[in-house]
Amino acid sequence: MRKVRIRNEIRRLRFEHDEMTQQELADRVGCTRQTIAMLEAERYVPSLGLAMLIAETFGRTVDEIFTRA
Amino acid sequence: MNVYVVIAILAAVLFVVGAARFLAPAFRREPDEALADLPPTPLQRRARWVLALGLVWCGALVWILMRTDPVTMGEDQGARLLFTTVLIAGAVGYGALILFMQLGRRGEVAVDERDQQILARASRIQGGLTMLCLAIWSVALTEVYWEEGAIPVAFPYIIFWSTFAVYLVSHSAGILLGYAMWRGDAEG
Repeated sequence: MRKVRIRNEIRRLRFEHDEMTQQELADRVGCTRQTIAMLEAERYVPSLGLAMLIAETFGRTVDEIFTRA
Repeated sequence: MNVYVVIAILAAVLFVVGAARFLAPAFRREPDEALADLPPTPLQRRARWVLALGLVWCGALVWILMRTDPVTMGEDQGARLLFTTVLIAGAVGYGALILFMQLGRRGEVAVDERDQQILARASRIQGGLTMLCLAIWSVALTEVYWEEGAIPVAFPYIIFWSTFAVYLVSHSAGILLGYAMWRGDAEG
């Protein structure tokens, strides 16, 4: 399968939501802080389920947060 | 040098080259400052402890085998008892460590989807290293005892337990390697 690079707005959205920490976001969506850090560094592409949970946390849709680079 | 030893050496060279190619990306990649101070995940923390215990355990077993001649081990009840005691102590300690670390993690996300990808890769590494251990035993014993036509009775026992030790230790090593080798795509 061809590799697809995905950009995301997680870091910006965290700061817009009362400077939510990576750990707080991780606790809300049920993953580890390392995974959130990897997502922000664009070194991990989440599953659709995790992407939807992150989008729900920020009150956005998945395509508002994750875009193809 | 017979043809089988040459084949074994070639296989070992191929394995080293393959492992070097597999590990190379981890050393080529530039460090990312945003990821430098991250705390280890619960799985990573547990893998470190289990690997440390496993290496001490393997070290103790190797130390006993180096002090005892495996050929006469079947007759040396003292050495056999010591070997078995260390084996059981290691296996019990291993189980206790996993249980203790699980109990200490209530409320924390133990394994997330990225960890599961790393675990899947660790299982492949575990399988490969276990097979390698068996291959080394097979080639070495066949070559050493070819003329005798049989191996000393203690060896099947040692082969099983050494393979079991490699099986346990390589899983933790595979997990830690998985984190170190994370390349940054959906498949890691």
